Amino acid sequence: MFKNDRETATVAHETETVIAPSVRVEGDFVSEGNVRIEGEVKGSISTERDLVVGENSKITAGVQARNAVIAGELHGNLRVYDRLELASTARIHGDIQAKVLSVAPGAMMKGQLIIGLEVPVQEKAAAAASVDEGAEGRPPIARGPRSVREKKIEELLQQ
Amino acid sequence: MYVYVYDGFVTDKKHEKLLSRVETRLTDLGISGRVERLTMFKDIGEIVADAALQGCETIVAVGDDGTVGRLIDVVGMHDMSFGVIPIGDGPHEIAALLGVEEGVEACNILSRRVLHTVDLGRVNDHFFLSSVRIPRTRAAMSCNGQYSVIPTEDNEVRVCNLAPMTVSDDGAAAISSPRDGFLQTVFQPSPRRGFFSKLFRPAEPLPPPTVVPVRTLSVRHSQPVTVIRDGQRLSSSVLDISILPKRLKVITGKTRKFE
Repeated sequence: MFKNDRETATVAHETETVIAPSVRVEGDFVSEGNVRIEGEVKGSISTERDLVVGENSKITAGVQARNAVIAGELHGNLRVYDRLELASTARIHGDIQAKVLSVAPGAMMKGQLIIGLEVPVQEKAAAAASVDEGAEGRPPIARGPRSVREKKIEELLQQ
Repeated sequence: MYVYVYDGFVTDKKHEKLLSRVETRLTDLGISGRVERLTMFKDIGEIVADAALQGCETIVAVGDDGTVGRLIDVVGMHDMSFGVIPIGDGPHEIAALLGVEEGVEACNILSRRVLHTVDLGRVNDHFFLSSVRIPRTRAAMSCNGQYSVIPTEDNEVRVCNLAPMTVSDDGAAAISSPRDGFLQTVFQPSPRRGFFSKLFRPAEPLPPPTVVPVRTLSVRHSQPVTVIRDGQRLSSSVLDISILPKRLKVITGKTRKFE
């Protein structure tokens, strides 16, 4: 059953969470490692590392992560401190804040976008408050060079 | 001072030769010690408490996983190192995970005395080194007092401290680390197979498991369920599982399955 080399042991050494389709998670889910979600989550999700949301997953929660790849359905605000990738099957209903955003053709978003701003990790609470405030309290959206991707996002927002 | 705790079956005639070689080797290495034999009328708690009073530094389980489970349950309350000499028909999974080979080679590993401090799991009032296995259930499990994991179908749940969690496509087992301060909780759904499909169809791969690292886990069943803790049965409707970080010093071999 076991291999003699130490490699098998190192496979699981890193703390990683996997939520498979056979379970549902309810409550404030906090993780220190990478998280992969293929099932259903209600409440809130927070990880200091990377988050992957599978195509058939359904999340009703506010989400915080360092990096995220979303391919499923999300109802709630999404705050990513580094890079956010939305796959073509992504369905987001909520506000998005990320430093870098990548959107595949076909992804659906309904909410406000704040992209390009540095969000210090130690100021997560403050950032959360600013997102939850009204439009007047929001920090200005960064106006860098307008790329095709940014135009597409704006078009999506106007729809 | 070493204390060797022999399980009852170890003194069977079929293990006589191997046990004799082991005892000779221990004497050669200068690590022989007091021998205690587990019988129906001896309380393992008293054996270990007595050993601790006499200044025992290392206690060694001589037997299989069941022997290790019984001893760990009481050693967790004392400050002493733990070793194992696998003898018997097995299973010897815990010894294999610690990198301890069967028979005489285990004596050499004991003699080298490479110690690692590992976490210890606790379920209700019992300790475990390897895992707790909860049979097929749909009961909600409260994790870290923050969120609940609710199986939507029957799942077998394994709470692993030092145990194989998942098996990859190439057959390699991923082992949980007993030094990370977490218990890896694996929810493995059962494959949906009827009676006839079991008979006539080839076995399908298992559905993907849920793996959640936790520090505490609470389960409430409406009726008592029997769980397996390091090869020992435990029956209760209430399961409160937690981790005690860096609680036990274990003697390991070169082929141990953790860093």
